[in-house]
Amino acid sequence: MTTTTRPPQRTRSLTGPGLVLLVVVVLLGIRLFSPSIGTTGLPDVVQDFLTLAISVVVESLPFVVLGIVLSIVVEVWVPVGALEKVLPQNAFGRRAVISLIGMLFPVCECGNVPLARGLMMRGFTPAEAVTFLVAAPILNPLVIISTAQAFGWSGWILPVRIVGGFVVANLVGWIVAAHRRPADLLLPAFEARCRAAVGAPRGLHRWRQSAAQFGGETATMMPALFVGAGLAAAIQVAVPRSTLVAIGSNPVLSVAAMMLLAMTVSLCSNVDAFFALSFASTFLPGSITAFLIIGPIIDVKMIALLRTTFRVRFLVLLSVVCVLFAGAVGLVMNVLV
Amino acid sequence: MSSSDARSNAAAYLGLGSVLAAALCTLWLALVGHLDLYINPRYSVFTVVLAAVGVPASIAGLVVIARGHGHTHGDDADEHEHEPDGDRGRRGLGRRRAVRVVLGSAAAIVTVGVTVAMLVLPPTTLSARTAQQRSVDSATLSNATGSEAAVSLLGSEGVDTSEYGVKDWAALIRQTTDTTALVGKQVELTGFVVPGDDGSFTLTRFVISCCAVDAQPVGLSVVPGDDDGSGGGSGTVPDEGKWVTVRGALAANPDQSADARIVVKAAKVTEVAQPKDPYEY
Repeated sequence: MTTTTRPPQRTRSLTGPGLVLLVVVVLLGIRLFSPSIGTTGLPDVVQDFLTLAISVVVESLPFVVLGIVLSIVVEVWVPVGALEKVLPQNAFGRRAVISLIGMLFPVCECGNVPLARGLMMRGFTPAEAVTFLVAAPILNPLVIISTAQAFGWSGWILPVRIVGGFVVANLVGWIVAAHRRPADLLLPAFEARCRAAVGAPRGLHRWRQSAAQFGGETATMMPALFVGAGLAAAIQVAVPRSTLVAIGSNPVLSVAAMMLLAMTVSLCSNVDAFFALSFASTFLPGSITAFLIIGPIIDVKMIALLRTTFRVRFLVLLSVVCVLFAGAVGLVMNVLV
Repeated sequence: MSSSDARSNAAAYLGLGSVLAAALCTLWLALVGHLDLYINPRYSVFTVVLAAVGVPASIAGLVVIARGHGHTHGDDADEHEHEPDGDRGRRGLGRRRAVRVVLGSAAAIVTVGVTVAMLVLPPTTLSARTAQQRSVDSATLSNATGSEAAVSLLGSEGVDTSEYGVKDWAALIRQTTDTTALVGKQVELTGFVVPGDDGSFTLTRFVISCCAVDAQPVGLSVVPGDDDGSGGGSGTVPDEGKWVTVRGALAANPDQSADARIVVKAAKVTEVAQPKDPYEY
């Protein structure tokens, strides 16, 4: 925390915020006075890259805003001890309940990162926050309904997705809890911020604190979101989808292909079922299920977002565990079902 | 610590500014009716509501900084204070800080670049290049969402197919085993051109289930018609990416080896302007 070393005077500065507002207003002015639709004469590759990146941003921004707002609610407004009281004492039971929090906060994965940060700043352990982070994008009402709409309530895909999400979340949570020093998996700056925030007296100016928190969280999340969107768009433009789709009917390769597709397309978990549905005719159900399990947890956009909070070694651990788990589930389903 | 202060303020400006710009742009897109160039309309309300939340929230964030209360706690600014002491630690620290500065600047450039592009460039659709790259002819792309109604058509002549789009016909043709029921049906469809071999082309539309990232091309092969000679139908393929309306009849594909067993025999191909909503859902 810089607050300990910072000189006491407050710098009142209108130039910075004023400049930001001015730039946004000027850009918006250009937008309002230029044609509302059309082509720019850019090469198709560049134009498509921009269209794809912007579409990821437009799609994800509401979830990121919602996630940040919820994290502010959890951190600033929910009374100390209110959440903790309802949770079981036993570590396993606690994580099992935490993995169901997503049923109350239907935020998809990009909104979960700020929310998980908010939970850790409330004093949740990294293991608990990670359990939430992995479980919530699958175990939430919107995702379950959209998956059911796409694949129906009967059949294996929906139950395996729900149970698989629960199991892999608690598996990852257990591994993190068993780590020698779970705090080592967090970025040092964030860990220090948590240490300072937990147990610190609540400020009197909650609205002001909320606004400052919104600034702090957007500062961390937005560049990550834009980088993630850029990466997802670049992969889309560069790699022909047909190379992945060509191997749909092989029980082993098709699982790998669908998982790779999930990790590169970076769809929001609320809607990925509809996308997966269009592959249902050529891909085996196990491969579709592997897609639906891995997609919400790991993809290029998500890795950029997770990198704001976790060290690389955690991302490697998470990827290995989840890829192995989803792959195993997919293979078993392809063989048995 | 004024430099770290300035840095965390700069990060907050970038974050708040990009939220504000992206949220305003989203609202503008919704206002002029072009939000569907990027996302499926079924998410419009949710997107607009949260964009409307993002605007005042980011302005409040800027006001708080302007009044000097902005303890933005940017995560990146003060990492070094918790690193181990000692010579080795310090040297590793310098390198790590350099890497961080480079990565941070790259992220800032991407953020600013995409944000500016979002506001300055007019929104547009995906190009025919992407349609080709996503393999428009692949049988995989057959039953894009929501085409259940199609199957019920089989055998019942009375079903109204006038509302059928490219997606519906493409799905129907690929699902059908008995194609004789379809041959001879009159269609009039609009889509863009992905050129094929010798005089044929694929009449294509993108189908979007969530946002433009998942856009899947669907298409019908169009072969030149041989009948009335009323122009357009004979030989000349329109340019790639051009929007056209094709009027003609379904016919068995002369190319027996092809995936699709039904093609459109075009009686008339007219160039049209791009429709207001170029995607199907």
